[in-house]
Amino acid sequence: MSGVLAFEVARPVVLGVVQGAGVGLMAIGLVLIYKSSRVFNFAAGEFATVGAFGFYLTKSHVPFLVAALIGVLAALGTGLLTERLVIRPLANRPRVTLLVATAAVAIFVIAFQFLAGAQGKLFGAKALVSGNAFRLVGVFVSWQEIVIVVVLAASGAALAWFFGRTDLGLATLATSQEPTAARLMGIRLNRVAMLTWGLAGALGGVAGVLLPPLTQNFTPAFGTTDLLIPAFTAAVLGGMTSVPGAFVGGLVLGLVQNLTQFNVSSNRLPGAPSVAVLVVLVVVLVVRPTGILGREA
Amino acid sequence: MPVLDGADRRAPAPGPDGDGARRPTAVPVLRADDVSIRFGGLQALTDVSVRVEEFEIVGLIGPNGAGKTTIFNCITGFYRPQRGRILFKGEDVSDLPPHERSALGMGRTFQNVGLVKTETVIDNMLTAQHAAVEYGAVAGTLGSPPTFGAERRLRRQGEAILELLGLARLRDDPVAGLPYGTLKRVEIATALATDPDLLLLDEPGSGMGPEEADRLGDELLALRREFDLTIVMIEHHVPLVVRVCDYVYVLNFGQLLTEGLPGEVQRHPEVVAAYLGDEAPEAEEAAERALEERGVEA
Amino acid sequence: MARTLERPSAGGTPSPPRTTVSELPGRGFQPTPAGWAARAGAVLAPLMVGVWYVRSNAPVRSDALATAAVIAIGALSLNVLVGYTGQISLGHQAFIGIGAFTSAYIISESHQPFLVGVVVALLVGAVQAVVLGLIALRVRGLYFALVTLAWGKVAEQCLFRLKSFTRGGAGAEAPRPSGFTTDKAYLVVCLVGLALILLVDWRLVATKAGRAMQALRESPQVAANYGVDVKGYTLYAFAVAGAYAGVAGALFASRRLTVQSGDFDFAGIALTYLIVTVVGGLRRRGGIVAFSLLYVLGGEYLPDLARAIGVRTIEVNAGYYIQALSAVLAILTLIFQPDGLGTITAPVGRWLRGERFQLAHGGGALGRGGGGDARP
Repeated sequence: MSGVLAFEVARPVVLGVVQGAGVGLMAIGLVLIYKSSRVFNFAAGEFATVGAFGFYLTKSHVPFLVAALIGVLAALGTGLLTERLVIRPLANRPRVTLLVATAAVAIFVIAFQFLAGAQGKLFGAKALVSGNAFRLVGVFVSWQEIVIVVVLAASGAALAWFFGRTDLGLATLATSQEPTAARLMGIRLNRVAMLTWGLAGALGGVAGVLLPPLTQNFTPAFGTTDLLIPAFTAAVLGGMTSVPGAFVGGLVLGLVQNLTQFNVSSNRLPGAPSVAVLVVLVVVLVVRPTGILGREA
Repeated sequence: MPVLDGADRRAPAPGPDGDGARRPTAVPVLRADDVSIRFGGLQALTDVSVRVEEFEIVGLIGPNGAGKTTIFNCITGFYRPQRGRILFKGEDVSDLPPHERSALGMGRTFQNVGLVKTETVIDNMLTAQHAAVEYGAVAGTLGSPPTFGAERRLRRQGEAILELLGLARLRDDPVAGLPYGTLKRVEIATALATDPDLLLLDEPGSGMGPEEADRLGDELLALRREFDLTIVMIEHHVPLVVRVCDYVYVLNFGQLLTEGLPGEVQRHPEVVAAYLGDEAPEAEEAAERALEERGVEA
Repeated sequence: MARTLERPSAGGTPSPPRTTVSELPGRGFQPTPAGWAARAGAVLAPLMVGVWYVRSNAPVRSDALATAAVIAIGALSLNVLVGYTGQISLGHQAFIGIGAFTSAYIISESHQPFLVGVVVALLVGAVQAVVLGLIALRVRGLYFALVTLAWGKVAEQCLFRLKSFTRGGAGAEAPRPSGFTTDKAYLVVCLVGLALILLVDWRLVATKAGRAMQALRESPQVAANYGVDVKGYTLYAFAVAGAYAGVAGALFASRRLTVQSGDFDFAGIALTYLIVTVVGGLRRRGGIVAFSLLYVLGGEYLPDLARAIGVRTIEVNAGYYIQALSAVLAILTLIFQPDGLGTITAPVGRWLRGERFQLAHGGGALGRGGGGDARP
């Protein structure tokens, strides 16, 4: 295979799948929250950032896996706090109000990061594991990329199983469609809301822990600036309601972003990936608002 | 141009002024021709034709779900029927959006009150005069001097209509806090403020007791005279319909069940069966009384 | 109107108890002379502070106050969309950035005077907003919010880095108008800009376009029934918001003298306008201006306050105190006091116009569900 093809196609495809899996996981979080609370959660990006900070600030003090767990738990806690302090008091308000409230949560978390000392622009994120696993169409695929994809995909699959097969998962779906009926059947709506917000936080946290090593660094607020819009677009591709659709949407977005990144020179068109995401978003919303990968669930 | 489709099915009827004839004119104010609309699998209206002459008050009755509000929505442009057309003052308005039909002179009220709830009564009256405003949007935004005078005139006009309906003291009240019956009256005021030739009222008497409905009847007759109105109303109060309407259409399951003079329609066996149901005897009695009263008036 | 109501009404008109407008309750209130004096004092005092400020070596930087004026115009622009029309925009830094780069381009590349830059920025701002508005006609509500978010990102990453338009990363120069090059003099320019926008905004809501927007926000059906072209006025709202934002951008550009894409950073800035608008109070012009000022003053003084109470501060990040505080205020506003700062400024405004001072007056921010018992 020629090196050009490797650079223009194979490399972005590998990167796209890995990043897309992270975006897909965040998209699942957005879908869960939308299904249970009918909220567009603009704080989702910061769940990822909190996870990343939780991980990288503790990494040098505790074992690797413990640090990762701390990161995920920090994000989970952020999700729970958001639900308890912001979403629940506003439960009966118009949805736009809730959207603004979650945006305010994002702003707060971002400002907090800077105040807490994130004065530098870049944070180093060393590789999780080193070494290349194999060579594919002329590009090396690293162990790290494989680990990331496997963990992310396994999380996605576990969630799909949880919401498709278990009682609690099905109860969550029931609340989204028939809140009153669900309440009558003894499902506690607050519990379900806590569950989904906590889960969405944790999912963001997983993405936040795993994605930075790919680029070897991250910036404060990267969850909101880099991941939030692709994640929403992925969720929209899945019609905002499909858990598997959101994950697949994430993969599509990862590919779209990386293929444009590698193939459109920033001299000709700066910020091409962001343009591509906007185009995908608008086209999907205008042409097929129910989503392309979605099925009403 | 529409032509009088010779086959007029109506017997001569007592007109609005009680002169004993309902004369079909060449250009009725409103004609709905064979209107059909379906939503998904539900056939909401099938070939419904309605004709309203100038200065008439026409009643539209039928059980819940018969398609009364649906035909209103087709007439005012909120729904686009799959078949059929709507002619307003002789002009085919089938392709016009609702706001253009409103500007042409269709005023309408809604079953569950169509007002801007966060605003005051007078602000609703001002908004309702939108189509009549003399200045352009940009001139208004840039504060061009003539707009100030124009605004004062709009306000006076709105206040005058409120006074006429006895609503003046509610002028500065926010709509949201008003009781339901009052809202229905405020809504009629805003509909009048759109300067309509044809007023479509969706259950103006709902939530009213017999006496209030009676007063509403008087009021509608007076408003017709005052504003040279033609009125179509959906109404469940049979006595009210019988008392004020010149002509009545009965809808059932999205189809025209029958039409005719209030007195005839009300005795029609299918109407009694489909619409009045078990309450038929009492309702009929009440309607009978209303008819007598009207005879006395005429 | 073809028909007026002055003519004598026909005989059979029902005559329910009539109240003429002059008899309405609450109309009769007139402040006492002392009351008027208090009101005059309340207006004059800030003016005198202003005069003193301009003449002295004031402790607050003029530059900061100019920033407050720019933020206020930007937030008023957002208020046209979110407050009046009910359209959400999460990409407002794009609106303002486009105005800024346009003005800079016109002044430094096309060598036109400052005022031409402002006017062109206003027009370009309106046009780009209308393009977004065309999408809003197809894509509604929360989904449209996503589009604005993505649009803001595209503006920052792509549009503002186009070399031909913005000189890429180097930054476009935007000199101030001659005679207004000092910070104090330029503050006057910004204040004049803010005053003009406030005037336009006042007339906007007092005339048919503003009423049309408010009606279509609450119910497109009711608006259409009133004769309002819902699509047309949605686009009009975008045009007005874009025009305000264009002005804000032009003033912003020359305040900084150069503009860079980083000035329109998405996470920090777009959402800040939203927060300022919400805390100031949707549809509360006075509240929005007041909170813009507080926001900037907070940015200036909160770090000192934090140091005074012993919080370790990193100088470069000091601006984030006010951002964090405002975010909390925004959430509290949404939960407890939907009118935001307008809860205070609106009664003060009415009092100044000669009414009684009373706090309670209907309102309702993002719409508190739209009024209780109207459904049968």
